[in-house]
Amino acid sequence: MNIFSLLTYVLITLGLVSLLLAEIVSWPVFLLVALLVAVSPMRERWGLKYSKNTINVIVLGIIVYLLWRIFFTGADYLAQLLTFSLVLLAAKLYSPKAYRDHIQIFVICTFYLIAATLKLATLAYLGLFLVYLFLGIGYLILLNARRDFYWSRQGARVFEEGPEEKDFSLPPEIRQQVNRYFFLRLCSYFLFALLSSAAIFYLIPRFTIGYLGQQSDMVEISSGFAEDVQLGDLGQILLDDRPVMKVYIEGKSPVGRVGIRWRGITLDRFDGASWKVSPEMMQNSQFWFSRRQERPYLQVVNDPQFLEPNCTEHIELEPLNTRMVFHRPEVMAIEMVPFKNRRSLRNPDIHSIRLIQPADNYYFSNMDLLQYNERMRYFNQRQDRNQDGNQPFHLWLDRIESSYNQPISYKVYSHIAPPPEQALRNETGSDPPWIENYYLQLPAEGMDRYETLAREVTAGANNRYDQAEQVELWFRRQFTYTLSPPAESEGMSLGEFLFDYRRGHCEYFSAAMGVMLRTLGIPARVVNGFASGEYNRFGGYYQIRQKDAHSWIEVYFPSQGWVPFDPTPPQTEELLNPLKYIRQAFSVVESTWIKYVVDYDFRQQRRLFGGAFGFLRPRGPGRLPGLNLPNISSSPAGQKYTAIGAGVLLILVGGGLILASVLQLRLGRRAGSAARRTRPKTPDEKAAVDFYRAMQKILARKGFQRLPGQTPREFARSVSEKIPGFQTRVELVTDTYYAVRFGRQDLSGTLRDQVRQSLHEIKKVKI
Amino acid sequence: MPDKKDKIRLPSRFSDFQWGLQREGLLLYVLMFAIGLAAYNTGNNLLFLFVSVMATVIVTHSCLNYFSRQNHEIERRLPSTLVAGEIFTVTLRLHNKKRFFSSHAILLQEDKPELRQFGRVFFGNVRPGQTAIRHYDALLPGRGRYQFGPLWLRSRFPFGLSLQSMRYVIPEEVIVYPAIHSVRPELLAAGSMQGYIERPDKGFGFSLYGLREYQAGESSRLIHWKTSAKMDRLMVKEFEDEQLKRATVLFENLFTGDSRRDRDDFEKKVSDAASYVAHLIRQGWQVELVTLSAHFPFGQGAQHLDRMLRHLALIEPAALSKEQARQRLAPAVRSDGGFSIQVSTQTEESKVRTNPLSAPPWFVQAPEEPVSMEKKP
Repeated sequence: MNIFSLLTYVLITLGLVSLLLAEIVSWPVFLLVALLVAVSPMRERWGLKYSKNTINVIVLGIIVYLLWRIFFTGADYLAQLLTFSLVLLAAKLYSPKAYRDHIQIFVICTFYLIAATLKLATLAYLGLFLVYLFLGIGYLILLNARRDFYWSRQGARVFEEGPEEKDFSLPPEIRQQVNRYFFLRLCSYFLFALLSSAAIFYLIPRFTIGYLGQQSDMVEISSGFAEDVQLGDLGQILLDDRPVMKVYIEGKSPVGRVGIRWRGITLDRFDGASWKVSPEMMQNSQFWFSRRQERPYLQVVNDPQFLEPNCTEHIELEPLNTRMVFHRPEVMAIEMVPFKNRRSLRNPDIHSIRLIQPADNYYFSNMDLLQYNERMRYFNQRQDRNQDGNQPFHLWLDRIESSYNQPISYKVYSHIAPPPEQALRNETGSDPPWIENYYLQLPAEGMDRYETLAREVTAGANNRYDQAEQVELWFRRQFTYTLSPPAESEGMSLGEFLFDYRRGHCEYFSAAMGVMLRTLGIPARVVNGFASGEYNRFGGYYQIRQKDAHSWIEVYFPSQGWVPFDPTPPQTEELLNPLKYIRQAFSVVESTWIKYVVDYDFRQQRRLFGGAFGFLRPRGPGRLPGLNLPNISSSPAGQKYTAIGAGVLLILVGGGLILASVLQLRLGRRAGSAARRTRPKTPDEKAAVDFYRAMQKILARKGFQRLPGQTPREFARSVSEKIPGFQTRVELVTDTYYAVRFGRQDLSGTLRDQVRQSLHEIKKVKI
Repeated sequence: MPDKKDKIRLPSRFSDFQWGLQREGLLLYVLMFAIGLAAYNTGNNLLFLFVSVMATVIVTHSCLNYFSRQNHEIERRLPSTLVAGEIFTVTLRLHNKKRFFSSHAILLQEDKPELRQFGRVFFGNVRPGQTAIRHYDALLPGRGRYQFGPLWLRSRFPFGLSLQSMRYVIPEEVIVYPAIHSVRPELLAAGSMQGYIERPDKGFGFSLYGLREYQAGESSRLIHWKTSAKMDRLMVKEFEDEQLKRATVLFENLFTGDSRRDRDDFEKKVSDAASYVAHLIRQGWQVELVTLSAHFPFGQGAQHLDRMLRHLALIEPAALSKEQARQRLAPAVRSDGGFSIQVSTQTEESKVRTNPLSAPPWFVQAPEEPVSMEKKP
């Protein structure tokens, strides 16, 4: 295997891996194709040698099959195109390869990398892309040099067509160039290409046409967070490393009793198997509507005991299967803000926040006041006619609103003031009725053994705080946290968790503690949200991933409100992970990649180049009052001018390219025709060629194969050296070939007879 | 031969440059356009990245190609004699005059259509300041003046997207001698036989003629040491003279017609005359060439042959009457040396007149048409 074939196989591997990473092909398909690729170098040794015609027939059959699938079974044409490209790739590897086949292999691999952009924008893609670019440059250089070499050695061939060289043969003249200087040259070309690419990438005007179809749905909705707790139904999602949100904390942040937790939903109803939000609670909805429609809105909680916020968090939420607002208590205000680094992203149309009280659950909503009123009116009319008319309005609203498949960026202004332990121990107040109503609920039967256990655990504790803390500590000391419970414990109930297995994940712990505290008459609720995740010291933010989804409980203290308790034993694996810092550094690189490449947009472009694109600057209303944010997309006038300016630029660039292409084609025809121009063969010349080919065939049968790039004269000499008796005859045929074909000599009758005689004699000679 | 320095011209005019888009380049443009469209349609920055890389590939190709093919010195070296129909080797020398950049994947190609197919060589890598040499075999079909045309320096380095060509005008005029074929074996025999007939005169033959006293300046090889010892003085050998190997080739280059056949016949006769001359000179004969336009007195050696072949390479049909032609050739026919061969465009066969002393009677026959492509010595 020489460097050229090695490069070919590496490029193929990179293309296939990019498809796999982008989840465009499944593992079985990948393994099948990889096996075919891996076996292909052995094809000659194992007798898997197929002619071009055989391969063409197979490929044609597959094309017919794929077309049938597209037109008669409605199969996705993109998937069929991908299948076809895989088949074509395999076909190219199993058939003789000329220059054109190598180009096709390269184009197919590049196509895979392009296809991967639709679903893969991670750092892994960047790595693949850079390696592919580096090796691709080397591959193309070798491929082109190889073609030119063979072309120069085979004068009789037309210019464009490559010679019929062996599959991956590399002539010595080119092979000796592949040394360390070649590698250094390659590095310099790569750097040059990288810098030029970066310059062009940042210069290309950014705007979206969107005429030929909508932007593909590149967003994958995460599903780690759950709006209820279904015991025994957690699965592998907790191991998922995909990011869920990024939290930038501005200034110093007070830390609560259990550390930093981002609360999502609180659950008040336990039915013996799951924790949920009770329907009654859902009816207690209230909406905060945006005060000003034309700008990201700011809404302050209409709380009589309004406290000054002491913590501001900027949260960038990836698309989730929920409309929950993640926050840290107590929320004072929520503001929709632009994304910090990903400027190309826009917040979805969020016009209100729905607050469920007293659960303190916040939901994003796209309804504005007008829509709210319209829906209310519609609901009332519908109530008269519908059989489900008894369904409350807010529950109905909850059903008709769906989650967002876009990232959301917002700020939460909170007042965080963890109460002192002593104050909690000295708590003497009584619970209000609504607390007793919602947060002491338990199933009517089967709670006795939980109560007995709770009393055993809390023996000696004489206040609510100590009781809760003893239960919390009991869980943390006596139980084991695991994400992979034993197989026999699959779908275990709360009772089995508490009394039999004593190991499980966070939802079991929070559910069990909530139940035990309620049996003691302590108001408690289960909270689902996210743990603090990982603080990225390079980027200055908390990176929360799906595996950080967490569940804990809150206990009510009449004078202090809700206080969190976390019965889940701590995980130790993260602390021991030596790759933590490397991962953090990668995370920053990935953020930079996303910020400056994946999410690069016109706004950044304008900022980067300042006045260079001044004529593209929108002439809209300019900056919005009160906000130091440029607002391009929100102004129709600005949009119009941007589109016109960018359109003009695009037409200029595109027109220039088309003109250059036309010019190239015209000149190309000239250059190409000059290179191709040959005189048509005369009958004598054809006869001379036929004689020569006949001699080649005869000699090939006797074991004298003309090497690629060997001239007829060199071939004749090599034959003569090996078999001296052939000399005169072989040279006569060769010289006649030269003289008649290129020397315009006539193939007279005598000469023709002599050549025939020579051929006959060559044929008769036994070796 | 014109002075090369006066007419060598580096690529300078518009027509000296050609730029041809290759199939791969066209493919790249089409892909770039399609992906660009997709990028603008979807706003996917990674597609923009691909468009940028593709544009970069074009830019990189253009830049590297430019640096690779600039600033060269090209030289074509030809053999001293070119004979029509015989394969000869042309040497092309490429000198990279750049100080820092190597030249990669350079193709040199002859501009003349008849040379274009064979006349191309590949230079893989020529480092700065270095020179590389390549050869190619060629064959010119006809005699006469032949002007080697310009050389195209072509390059598709590095990615093969476009073929950039620069024309180096390197005029190289050569005289292609007429095709020389083998002559009849009888003539070979006659030639060799005539060389062995001796006359009783002093000369440079093989038989001893006599001894005489040594004179200053004579070769020591001629000293007869035995006799010198006996006579106590230096004595040298004298040899008998061989018969003079003299032949006259008469070429009656009369104009016979302007048809292709006439022209072909004329060329054939020129080739016959050149073949006789070459054969006789190589056999050591003194040869006189008489045509209607020139007369080359008896002479021997390569230089004499060159002069005669050069004349034959450029000879044209003479517009004379038969009588005028006969008058012009008559003095040569009366020549006393050896024998004469008369090649005429008026007759199908060549006539051979022999000196009765030196040629056998069967030599009257005219030589037959050349029959084979056997290699010449």
